Order: sequence, then C-alpha cells, then structure tokens
Amino acid sequence: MDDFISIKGISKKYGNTYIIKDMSMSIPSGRIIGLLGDNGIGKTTFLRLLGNLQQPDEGEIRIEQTPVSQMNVKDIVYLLEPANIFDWMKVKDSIAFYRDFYEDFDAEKALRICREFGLDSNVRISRLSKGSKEKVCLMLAFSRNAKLYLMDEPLGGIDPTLKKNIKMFILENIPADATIIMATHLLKDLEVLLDQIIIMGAGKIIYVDTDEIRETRNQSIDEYYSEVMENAADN
Amino acid sequence: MDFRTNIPIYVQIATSIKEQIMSGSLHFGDKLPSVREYSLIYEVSALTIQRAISQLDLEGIIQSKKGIGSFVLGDCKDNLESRMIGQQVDEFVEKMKKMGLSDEFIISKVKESLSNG
Repeated sequence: MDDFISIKGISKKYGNTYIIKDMSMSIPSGRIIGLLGDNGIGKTTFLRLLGNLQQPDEGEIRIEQTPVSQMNVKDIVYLLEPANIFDWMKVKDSIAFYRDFYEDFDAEKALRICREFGLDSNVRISRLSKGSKEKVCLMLAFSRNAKLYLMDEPLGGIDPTLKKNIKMFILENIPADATIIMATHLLKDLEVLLDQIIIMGAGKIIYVDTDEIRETRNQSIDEYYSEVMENAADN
Repeated sequence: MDFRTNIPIYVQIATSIKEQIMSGSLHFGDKLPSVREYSLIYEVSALTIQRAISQLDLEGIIQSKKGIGSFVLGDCKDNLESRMIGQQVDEFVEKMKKMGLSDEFIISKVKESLSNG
C-alpha cells in the first residue's frame, strides 16, 4: 500500500442531491492528472474535499496514510481563484506574505516567475487586469514546493502566449515527484502532458492512464472523452 | 516535438531516441539526458519519460544504471538495424503465407528477385 492518495467511499450532498456518491480510488504519487467533466458536475467539490477545504458527509480521504482532515493545509497547494487573493496588497507584499506563511515558498522563484510573466511586483493587485491577477495566483502557487497541487481551471483567462507555454511552465516549476490534479477544459492543449484522467459525470467515475487509452483504443484523449460523454448522454 | 495524440506518447519518445541513435546524433556509450532534462526537452511528464526509458532498456538499446543514468549500449546500432530488417522480413513472409504460398515457392521468388537485381 504505497498509494499517495487513498479515497474510500466518499459522498457529498448539497441538500438532498448527491454531488459525489460513494467514490473510491487510489492515486499513486508523481502523476499529472486531468479532472474532466461538464460544469456543475462536482469537480470543484472533489478538489475542495482533497484540499480539506470541505469535508465529505461519508467516507475518508488519506494522503500518505494521514486523513486529510488531520493534515496541515500547508502541505497542499490549492490554486486560488483571483477573487480569493488579498487584492489590496502589492504583488511583492503577497510574496512576502506567502513566504512568511508557507515554509516551502521560494521567494526567489516567485520573483523569477514575475519577471517571466511580465508582472511588476510594485503594483497593487487590485489594479491588475483579470489575466494578470490569474498570473499572480499561478505565481504564488508554483513558487511553493509541495507534493500535491490542486488546480481548478487554472488557465481560464490566460493569454495565448502563456497558454502555449503552459506545459513548460508547469514542468519547470513543480517537483518531478509531485502529484497535480487539475480540472481543465483545455484538453487539446494539455492532453500530451497528462499521465491520467479522471472523468466525472459519465454515469460512473472513470480513472484511467492516458497512454493506455491511446494504446488500446488508438484514440486521442479528446476523442475518448467526447465518446464517453456522448455515450453517457444516450443512456 | 509534435506528438500524434492517438499513439502512446512514451512510444513516440522511445522511437525518437532510437532515431537519434540510428542517425548518429547519439553515439555508443553516450550518457542520455536525465529524466528531468528529457521532460523539459519533450514537454511531457517525468513518468512518460521513465516509461520511454524502461522500454528502451527492455529492448536492450540502452542500459539504465540506478542513480547514475542511462547509456546507449555499445552494440545497439547494429542491434537496431538487424531488428528493423528482421521486422521487414517477418512482415513479408507473413503476407506471402497468407496468400497460401509454400516455403519453397517464397524462397524461389526471393532468389529470382535477387538475381534480377
């Protein structure tokens, strides 16, 4: 049992509606995983449960044997949405704040990423465009050296140049043995990078290796995903 | 590198490294770039690179030494060439047999073709 993340029978309800029902899976370490599914299907809820930002109604999630509920949130990177950063701060203040709060935060790396992104660290975050605020969130998340990175549509409003280089950016800035779980709609842009995918909302949870899909079905991940979702809609 | 998205990525990387050996840009005994370096060169995960490396190791094209790195095996250019030739011959023979031709007939046809130059 050297699974990195072990999920046993978790359920989450809002009112009387199950968002996640009796979900179990084991995730090894060092994987880059795409979390796929239609909007509103529970991807954000799943990520929040993994990040201990919400608790399941039933079941348990363990990371390296430790229940997530007992873990220090500082061991997990949860990529913030721009709405959740302190935007009265200057970019350099947010770096200082993160450096003080997270032991694994690398301030030098943060400044390097600012330069790469063309972010002026003396500017107040509230004055930045939506795209630049997203860059601040990416910069803060990727300046940490953690074992687990959870990202909810990290590249929503990102500009085309960064989108083109995003694979390189992720690979350069994350430890090789880290696990990344990333909800994304940019399947065509990212599929070569993904080791595995989790599909929610296709009747059952599908968790599969991307190269296995290519090997056994001669399909791209994009084609496979479309087929799975069409079949689910027909049933 | 532009990948075909319906063929396993690790297979395409293993093929790319084989081609570099065949073309002479990687030589006998050369140390291959590290997993991390390859990951940035091909823009794929470390896991995908590890799979490509294990595949090449399994095929006897490279040798991986834990903690040291991977090396192009001394005899592997010949190895690769003879394997690729072997593959072509196997395919040819299989096709002929499917057509219901006898071994003698196939051999005589190959000889005929060779003597015609």
